[in-house]
Amino acid sequence: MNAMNRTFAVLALSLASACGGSWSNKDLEFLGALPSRTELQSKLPGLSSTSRPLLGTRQDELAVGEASIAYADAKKASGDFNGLLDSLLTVVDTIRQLPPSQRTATSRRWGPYPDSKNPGAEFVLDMTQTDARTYAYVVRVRKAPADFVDILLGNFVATDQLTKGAGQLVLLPAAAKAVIAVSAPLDQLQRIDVGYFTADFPKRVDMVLTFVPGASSGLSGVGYVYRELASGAGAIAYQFRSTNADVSVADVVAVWSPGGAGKAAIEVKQGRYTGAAKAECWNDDFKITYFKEGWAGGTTGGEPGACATIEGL
Amino acid sequence: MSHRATSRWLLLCSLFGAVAAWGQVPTRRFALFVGNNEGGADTQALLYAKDDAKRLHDVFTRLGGVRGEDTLLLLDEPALRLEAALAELERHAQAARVRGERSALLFYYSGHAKDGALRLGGTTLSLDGLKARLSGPAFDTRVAIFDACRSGTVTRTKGVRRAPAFEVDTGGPALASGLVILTSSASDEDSQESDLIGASYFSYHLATGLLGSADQSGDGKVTLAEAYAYAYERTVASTAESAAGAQHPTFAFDLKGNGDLMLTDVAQRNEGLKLPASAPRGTYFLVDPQGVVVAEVTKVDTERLIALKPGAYTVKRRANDRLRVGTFTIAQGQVLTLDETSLKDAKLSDDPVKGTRLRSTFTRHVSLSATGQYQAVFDRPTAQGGYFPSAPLFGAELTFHNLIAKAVSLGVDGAFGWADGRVSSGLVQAAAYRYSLLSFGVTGLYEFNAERAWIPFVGVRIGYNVMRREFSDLPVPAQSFSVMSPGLVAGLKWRFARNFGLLARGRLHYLLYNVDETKSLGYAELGLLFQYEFRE
Repeated sequence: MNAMNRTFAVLALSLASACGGSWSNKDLEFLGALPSRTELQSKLPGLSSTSRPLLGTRQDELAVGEASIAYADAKKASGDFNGLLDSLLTVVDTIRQLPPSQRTATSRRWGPYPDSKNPGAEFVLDMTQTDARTYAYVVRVRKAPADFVDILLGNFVATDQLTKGAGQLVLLPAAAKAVIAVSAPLDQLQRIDVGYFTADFPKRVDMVLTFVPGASSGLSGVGYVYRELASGAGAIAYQFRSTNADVSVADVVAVWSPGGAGKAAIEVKQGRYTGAAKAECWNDDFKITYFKEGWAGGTTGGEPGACATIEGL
Repeated sequence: MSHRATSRWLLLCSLFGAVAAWGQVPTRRFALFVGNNEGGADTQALLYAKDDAKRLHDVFTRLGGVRGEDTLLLLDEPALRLEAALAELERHAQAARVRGERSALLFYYSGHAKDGALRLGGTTLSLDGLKARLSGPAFDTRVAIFDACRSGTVTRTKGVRRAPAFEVDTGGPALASGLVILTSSASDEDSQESDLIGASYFSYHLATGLLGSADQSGDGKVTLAEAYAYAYERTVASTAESAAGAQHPTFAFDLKGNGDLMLTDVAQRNEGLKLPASAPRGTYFLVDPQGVVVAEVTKVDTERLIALKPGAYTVKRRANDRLRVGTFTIAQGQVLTLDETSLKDAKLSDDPVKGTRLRSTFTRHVSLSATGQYQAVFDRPTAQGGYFPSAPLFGAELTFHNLIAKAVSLGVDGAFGWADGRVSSGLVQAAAYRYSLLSFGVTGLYEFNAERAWIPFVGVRIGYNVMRREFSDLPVPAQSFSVMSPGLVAGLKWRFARNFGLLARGRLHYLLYNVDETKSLGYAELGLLFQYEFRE
């Protein structure tokens, strides 16, 4: 075989080996059954979150027209909620960008792929279609030759439209920590449970954080509930915690309209002001339009009619 | 016939009369025909050397009294194979000698010669060594014909003559033996090829002469003397006005004996076209359906028989102010007498042979084309679960014409296409995507009637497609697929100007999909090309 023949042979082999790819209609179904950020994230409009406290440390009086403290706190909670979702979905999204390594009619496997952030570690995602609408998946990680450890479990039941349905997923930071490095705040968590419903409006995402025993935060659990309407209106309910002796624990429900105007109801559950409640409304510019401090000596400003009307949540 | 021509004719007869062994006594004839377009490094590929060898091989096996098992045709073979073929024929000749037969060898070579050697592809064969071998005792009579640049080198040492200057040696025994060498050009000349006739001048005229055109005596047999004289005159005349200058065939001999050397027996097969004595004088061109002039006959007063294979032909005679053109068919075993009155007048501009052909078509050259095409995939629409959409493509092609052989071209192409679509699969409903396609390919083409304005072509193509789709409303990454795809190509080219052409082309390709399932798909492409040919 002369040089030219060898060249052609090598070229032909190279091209032949370059055949194939990730072109799969069925993959779309599996991938579509995985949760996505855009479907689950909180979409509270407006300014980025601030660090202004909700209650307790404020020294000056509330006043109509000032920047809303309740909005700022809801925005921070929304950011925290999204951050935790990111922690969960980063694992899924990383794998989603890679082609499946095994395909059967009812399953897909991605990996084992090396984890670039954890030298020596490799992860794998196994996904199974248990019936026409139901998918289950698990992400495992290991450092060979050790066995794989489950770090994320999930399932999803689709409606007639694949990306719409009801799902659950559980992230197990404590299990992952035994194999790979886990950064804060996940290192304080035993698990994160997420349930979501996107088949219809209002969409719903519930998140429960379970802390490891003896966590530095002193907490055992925290929960978020998020709702979203087709119009863009939304709500988030969460528990506010601080080291302030006046208000150490408070339940907060923030609701907003598509334009950003909203209102929040706060009820103190622990602290010197236990039982006290507060309502605050803001406009599209996130300025206070109405407030009412429901404790002795509390003040009221504006008119309740200045609050946005938001229904369906 | 002029005095000079008569003298040359007599001298030739005397000379070649020395090799009486060919035809007069029981003689076993052997023949070796060698054609090689390639001459290795520092040579430019020839276009017609193989065709020349095939043409002479055909003439001699039909009319030259050479049995099929005693003839060898080597095309694009190396020097080692040539030497092996010679050895094989020498063994056969030895066997014939044992049986009491005499032997004669015809050796024909068309190809490159340079620096004292035949150039067969990347291999060489010393001319002196070959000549020494041909001069050996293996055959009683040897006739060697070299159609190669500066092939006169092989005759320069002894007896070389650039006809029509002859020396005469008619002495010797009655049964001749020895070596005659004909060359297409002198030792300082190039041997020229012609795109118009699709052959080298010398071999073309030699072959035409052997069909009967050279039968000066009118006895139905073409002798070596007649064939050489014909080929010489026509070659010199054909090349006199060429840029390379006139080309002069040469001959050399080293013979003992006497008699006449008959090369072809035109009348033996009793098959061909007879120009009766009553036919008007002039040059008649006999053209086959492929447009190739298979014979040129200069008709004088005597009747002339041209040995043609069965088939359809066009005959043309050029008059001063018009053409006389007609068609005829030769059946097997039939000698057709031409009825000149059956020919029809035609304008000189409608000459089917001369003047309408585009010269240089059969030279190697490159063309560049801009392409626009539509690729239709043989699959369900993607919105109904299909895999690949149809799409328009735009690109360019580079074609190397006559690269492998005349009319055989090699092209490389690249194109880019895109489309928007929607895909449905299972619970995925009408997911929008943007599709893009990169296509590369290598195509081998054969062009019919490549010298004309309308040029049909067919070919094969190996394509390499890289496809990609990105989704706008699904949270999934882009998908890609690449595949080699064999296919067929056909189309029609309209050369509307010397260097410009428009092409309509269709492709039919096989497409193997193997991700979700193994599925044989295909696609058709219909395209238009605007082509520029880089040629003089």
